[in-house]
Amino acid sequence: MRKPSGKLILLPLIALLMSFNLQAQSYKLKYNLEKGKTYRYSSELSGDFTQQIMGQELKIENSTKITSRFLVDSIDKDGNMVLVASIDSGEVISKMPTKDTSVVSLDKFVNKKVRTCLNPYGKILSKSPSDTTSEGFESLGITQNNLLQFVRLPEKEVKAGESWTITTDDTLEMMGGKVLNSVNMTYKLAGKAVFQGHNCLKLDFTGDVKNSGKAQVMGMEVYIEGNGKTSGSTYFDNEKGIVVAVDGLINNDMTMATKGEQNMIIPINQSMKMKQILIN
Amino acid sequence: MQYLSRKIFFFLSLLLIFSGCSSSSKDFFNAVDQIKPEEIKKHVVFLSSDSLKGRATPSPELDSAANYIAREFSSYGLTSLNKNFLQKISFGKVDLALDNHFRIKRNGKGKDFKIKSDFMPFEMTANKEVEAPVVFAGYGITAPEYKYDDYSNIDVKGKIVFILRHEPQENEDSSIFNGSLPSVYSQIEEKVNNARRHGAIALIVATDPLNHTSLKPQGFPWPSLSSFIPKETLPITLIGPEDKKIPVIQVGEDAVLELFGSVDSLINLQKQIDSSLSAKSFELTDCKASIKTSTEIMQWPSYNVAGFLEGSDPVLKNEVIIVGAHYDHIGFKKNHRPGSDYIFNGADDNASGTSGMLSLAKAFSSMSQKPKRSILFIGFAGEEIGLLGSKYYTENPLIPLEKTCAMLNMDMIGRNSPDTLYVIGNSCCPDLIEINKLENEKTGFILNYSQEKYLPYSDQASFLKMNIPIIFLHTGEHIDYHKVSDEAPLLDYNKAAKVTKLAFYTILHLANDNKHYKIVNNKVTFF
Repeated sequence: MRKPSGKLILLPLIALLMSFNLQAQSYKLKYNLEKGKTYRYSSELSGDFTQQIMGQELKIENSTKITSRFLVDSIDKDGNMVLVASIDSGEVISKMPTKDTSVVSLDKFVNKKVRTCLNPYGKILSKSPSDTTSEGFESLGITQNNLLQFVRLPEKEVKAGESWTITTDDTLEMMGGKVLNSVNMTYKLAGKAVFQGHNCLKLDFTGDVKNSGKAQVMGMEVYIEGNGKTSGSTYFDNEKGIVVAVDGLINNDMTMATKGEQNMIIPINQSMKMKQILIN
Repeated sequence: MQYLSRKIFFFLSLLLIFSGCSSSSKDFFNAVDQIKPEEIKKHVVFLSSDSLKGRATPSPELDSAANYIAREFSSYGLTSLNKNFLQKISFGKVDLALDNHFRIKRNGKGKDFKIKSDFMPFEMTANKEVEAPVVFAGYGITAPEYKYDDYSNIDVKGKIVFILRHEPQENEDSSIFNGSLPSVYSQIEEKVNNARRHGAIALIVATDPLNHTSLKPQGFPWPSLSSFIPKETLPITLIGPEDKKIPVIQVGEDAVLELFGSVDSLINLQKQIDSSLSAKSFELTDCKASIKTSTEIMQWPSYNVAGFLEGSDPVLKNEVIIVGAHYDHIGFKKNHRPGSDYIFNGADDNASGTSGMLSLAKAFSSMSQKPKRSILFIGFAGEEIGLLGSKYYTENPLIPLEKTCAMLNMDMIGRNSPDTLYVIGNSCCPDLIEINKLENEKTGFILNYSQEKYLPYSDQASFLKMNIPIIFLHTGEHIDYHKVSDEAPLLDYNKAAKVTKLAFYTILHLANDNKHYKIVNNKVTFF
């Protein structure tokens, strides 16, 4: 009997989550976090994946909800921050033809901690080994960056209407391989907005994402190549130096190809909405 | 005298009836006795032996398995409907060659588009060049059961057809096209076949802009156009005759602008179709397109193996029941440590079902009074690479599909609890399920109907797609599924024989019936 592999179906979601966190890494001005304080966010990523396998198109409706927190562990004299992030709760709901709707709880990852050092503009300076994070945790794409709702801010002062561009290349390890994500984000200081009682600066963003990489799944070599676009707005409370919300769209066209026991080329289109909100 | 003669007549009648019954019962029991655990084991041991290296499609080892099945059919006295019971199938790899173009000529001006950034051929495209006027044909769907036809108000014969991807009301739960999940009509292959049936000479596809923001020309991501994805990843596929193909490309936003003036114009057309569920097709004025797609094809043959048992009824013998099982598996590991097991033997998947099918062929062949309808036993190749053997059969049937009353498939019948059996088809083919349930009184399985999710995952799906009623017998997944450890000693041969006997009773019932069975709720998304 021929059945599609669950792992192959999940892979695009992982890749998207990786892109998603990078696309979110761009803000304005300086972060001004309080040492010892814990910040909590709710994040939601919903939309659909359309994959073509063996000439047949398969649509998967997906919704991922995560409540996460990070503790500001230390801040040095240059303003560099060590943050310890974890999730409070989470679930992944998938709906696809011929399968029952699946709800995967992320409860087993609660309290698994990851540690990251950022400069005051949101640039990652170091990633500590996620020694307390299980392999499964990372295989879901919930790496350090996903749990931290930080975008990169410009180091110079910007006025309304001005824009700045951040380019990042990041190599992420997944399923016995590496995937290179190249992100080119352009932010524009669009204006002011009040969001959930916070006086915010609204940062509109557009971005291009390219990814390519190779992994191993069930003894097969898996190649990933894709590019996509994202757009949306980040709401930044400049006084408190914290992101209050991110609202955006992601559209990604990707190819996943396998070599080994089965040779397959799977075109994938991902169309997702993302929403992240500071809870407290 | 008269009374006596009546008594004698009555006695003689009874004698005749009982002797008939006795002869028929003997025939029946003799046939059932042909289905033996040791016979099934013998077949499984051969088919799953290391010498057959996992029976990948295509491979010389798969051909050895095909010849084994053919020899068995021959020894049972089945009839071959083609040469040596073998139905040749061309499998192969299709790669994109260098010479491709897409050009729009409008109001006397021509515009050329670039491959990959502006247009991309699909994997089923032809090796051909065409030039013709362009017709907009909505989503390119003809769905009589929903009274929906994008071609109802337009003649596209000899034209190039432009269509949208997906289907009307794509994201609405109330959509007649399977709610928010895609129906079979959203598949590109279905749209290509429909365009061809209507006489189109090429197909241009664009992402429907109402529900999708990216209009990139995805098409098929050919390795020859990628610097990263190796050519070896090209999948093995069915190679159809070139004269039945047409050029098929997906175009991006620039082509949409050239053809419709703006993306909004196309969105408006899509909105009109979605709201009215009626055709809004038209020929674009003063507009021609020229399309050339070139492919390179590498081909290897494999075979479906088909043995025919003619029915005994002068009329009903023209109708056929198909008994199928795929005999291919997934081959062997190309990279493995020396000394480690590297062959995916596929004992349960699906040497078991193939062996059951062979036992059924032997059992039915042994009957002196053959069933009324004919029976065609088929071992399918290419199941593991996309149900390709059964797909080929349904597109090239040995007996017309309209004469095919039902298809019974057996895939993985030798594992798990000895008394339980998954019977799949309840959601679409209740007539066959009822007959199977009735016949199960002879075998006493605990029948489980909860696994309809398996409907698209084996060869029955190819038949259901052609509106042929199906029933699928399956004993469930296990930890050795698609692993090198799926080996012959792990099978429960008594259970495999019991499943085969239930299949025998069910097929006998179907083959002696004169009814035609219904399909209800055929909304399966074929995957």
